Amino acid sequence: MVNHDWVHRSYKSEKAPGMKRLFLIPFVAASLLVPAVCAAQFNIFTGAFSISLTLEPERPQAYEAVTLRASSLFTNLSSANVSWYVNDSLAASGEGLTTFRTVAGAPGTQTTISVRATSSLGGTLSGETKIAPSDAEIVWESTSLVPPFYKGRALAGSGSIIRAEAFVRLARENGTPIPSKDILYTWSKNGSPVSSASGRGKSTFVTEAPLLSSADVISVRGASLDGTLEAEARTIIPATDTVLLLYPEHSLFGAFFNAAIGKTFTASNTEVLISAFPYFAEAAAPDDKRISYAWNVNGAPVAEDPAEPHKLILGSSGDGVRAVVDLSLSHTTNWLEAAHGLWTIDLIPGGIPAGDPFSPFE
Amino acid sequence: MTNRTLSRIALVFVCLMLLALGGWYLFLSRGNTATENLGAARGFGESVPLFGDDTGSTYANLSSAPGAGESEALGRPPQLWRVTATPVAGAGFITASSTTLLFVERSTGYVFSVSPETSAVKRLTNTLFARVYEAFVGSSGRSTMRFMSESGVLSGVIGTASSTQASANEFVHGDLPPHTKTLALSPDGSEVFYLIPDGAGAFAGVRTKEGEAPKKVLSTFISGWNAQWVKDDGVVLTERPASDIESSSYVLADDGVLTPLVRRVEGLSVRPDPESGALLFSSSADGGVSLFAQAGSGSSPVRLPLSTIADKCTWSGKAGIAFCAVPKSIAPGAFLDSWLRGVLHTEDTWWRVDARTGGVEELYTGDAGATLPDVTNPNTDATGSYISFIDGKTLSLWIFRIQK
Repeated sequence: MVNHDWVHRSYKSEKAPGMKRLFLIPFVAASLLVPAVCAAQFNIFTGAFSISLTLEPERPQAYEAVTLRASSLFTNLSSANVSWYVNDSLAASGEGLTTFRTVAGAPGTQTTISVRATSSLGGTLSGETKIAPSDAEIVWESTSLVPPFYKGRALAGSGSIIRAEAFVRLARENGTPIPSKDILYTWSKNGSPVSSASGRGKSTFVTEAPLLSSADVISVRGASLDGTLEAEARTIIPATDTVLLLYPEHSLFGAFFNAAIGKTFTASNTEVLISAFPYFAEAAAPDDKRISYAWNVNGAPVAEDPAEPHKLILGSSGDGVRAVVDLSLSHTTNWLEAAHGLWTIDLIPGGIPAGDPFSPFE
Repeated sequence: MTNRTLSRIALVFVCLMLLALGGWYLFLSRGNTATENLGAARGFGESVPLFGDDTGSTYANLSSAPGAGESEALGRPPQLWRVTATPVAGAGFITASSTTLLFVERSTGYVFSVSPETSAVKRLTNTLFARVYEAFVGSSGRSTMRFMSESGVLSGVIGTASSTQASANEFVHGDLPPHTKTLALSPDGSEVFYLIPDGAGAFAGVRTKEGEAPKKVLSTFISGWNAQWVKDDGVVLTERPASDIESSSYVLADDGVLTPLVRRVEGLSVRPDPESGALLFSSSADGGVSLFAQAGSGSSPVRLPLSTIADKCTWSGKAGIAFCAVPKSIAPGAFLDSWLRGVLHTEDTWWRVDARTGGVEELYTGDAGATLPDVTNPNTDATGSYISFIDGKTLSLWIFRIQK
């Protein structure tokens, strides 16, 4: 006679090890995972449940407004008394104060933001984060032509070369700035990485000026060698046409780059020397051999002076004269480089005028 | 023929002779007048120019300003006074027993002194430097001059003009390195900063103290910096601006570290206060111009109700107080670009600015119908009573007395 109960119990006993394994594994896994999940929330050293802090923006720039939000999986902070500290100094406190706004410090500095919350049950929770603004800019210039002592930027004229330098400021946790030679630079042009220009300590970048009426976007990412810190910068470089201007020039004073000749100009002299200057041209100087000047006065072409092709002397025999000056500029190797201007210049006749006889101005 | 008839004939003859002589006299007289006028216009009859006198022949011959060519005082000048009509390269107030301004003549490099209180002008140097495009004057009288040769080579000198000599003297100087890209002189003139090519496409920022060897403080890939001196903090380097193009400005410390002062502002110009941490900066963008004041580092900038650029402002010497020249009107467009290239000029009124409060006060609007100058390179004297500046259109030198 078979003892069905025993058989049933035996079946159950034989079956038990497999079933146990089936439930044991997930249980052990959960037992390990739960503490791991809770580790972010529970400080095993202080015994306090901690608070998660999120920053917006995630990587603030220097002096940028930052919003911090506190959250906790184990308590409802909206009913807790929440206190915010900036570098251990109480900055704000209130019930349910889960949002805090501050301003990032100077580049290279570090600000510690901590939060403490007392729940309705009396427990204390805390959280902490550091704001170490990483910062970066790109400064750039072009090799295009500008007058000496010109205080403005040499813009990206056709055919010129753009030279850029990145200033990236990363700081370690103790506030020590990371030197440029220990920063990994990754340069991109119009979204495409430029590997040849990228690398450790490679803070400079050289590229051609953008074409025609377009603009190039140059960006750089600077990161610490361990990848924990990084900052980004980008700049837009628009293409610029050549700006052709005329200036009066004087044997005693030189060229008057402060006073461009307007569309109409009156000179109180019987003779005036004018000098053309092509801003942002692909040239080393206004008399660069690659630049060709086609002067035309009152409809008649004027042969350029081979030594100073960018200069023209206008004179009158003693009677008043009006000179309509037409100047066209072209480049011997850059067909995109062209400019044109038209000026009307009146020379007042009749001896040495009253006042300053040497003034070329009205 | 009777005696009576002869007498009558003789009388008529004499009258006719007298008439003829009178007519001849008138004819000759008119001719002389015309000749004299023509001669005067050509300079005949003028005294021979004297190179050795206090004001020098160039200044005496060229200037048409009131009191020009005279070394004696002519009394208190007007509140807005054009000191010279001839172009100058730079000017600065010096420390002296009374307020004294030194300026450098563009055509000759001669250094002159002028008293804004008495209008007396005196030439201090007789060393010729042709076509000086830029000059800085420190409060000690130490000055820099930069000029360009016919072939376009930039060079410069640094030296001292003594204001105590009885007559014009040599400008004792040393040479600056050639091809300097930018230059700044400390307020007292004891130190100079300049940027020069350093090989391999790089540029070196060098600081040189009087009597000491040059010291390299910066290595940069960019040559297009504008430099200004800030007392104690060193040099402020600003990326050369353009309308609608972002620029940044940095403080260069002795150890070569560049600390941002203002970041990524379109058409940026800055004017830091050498006495305090206050700052004025402006933006030229979107067809307009905006001026901002910042009371100190870390403070939030405040936009001022003035449309002008920081280049037209000068600090008073009292913490946070500045004087700004404000154009009467600014045409829409890329103002900064056009102004820097000499395409347009403005007529400026004077305002007092408090960077700490953002408050502004109008000081001077000029006489009705008068054409006001375009203010460039403004400088305030140590007492905060006078501002010197150069007219952007004519490069003439002006002094504005702040109190009427």
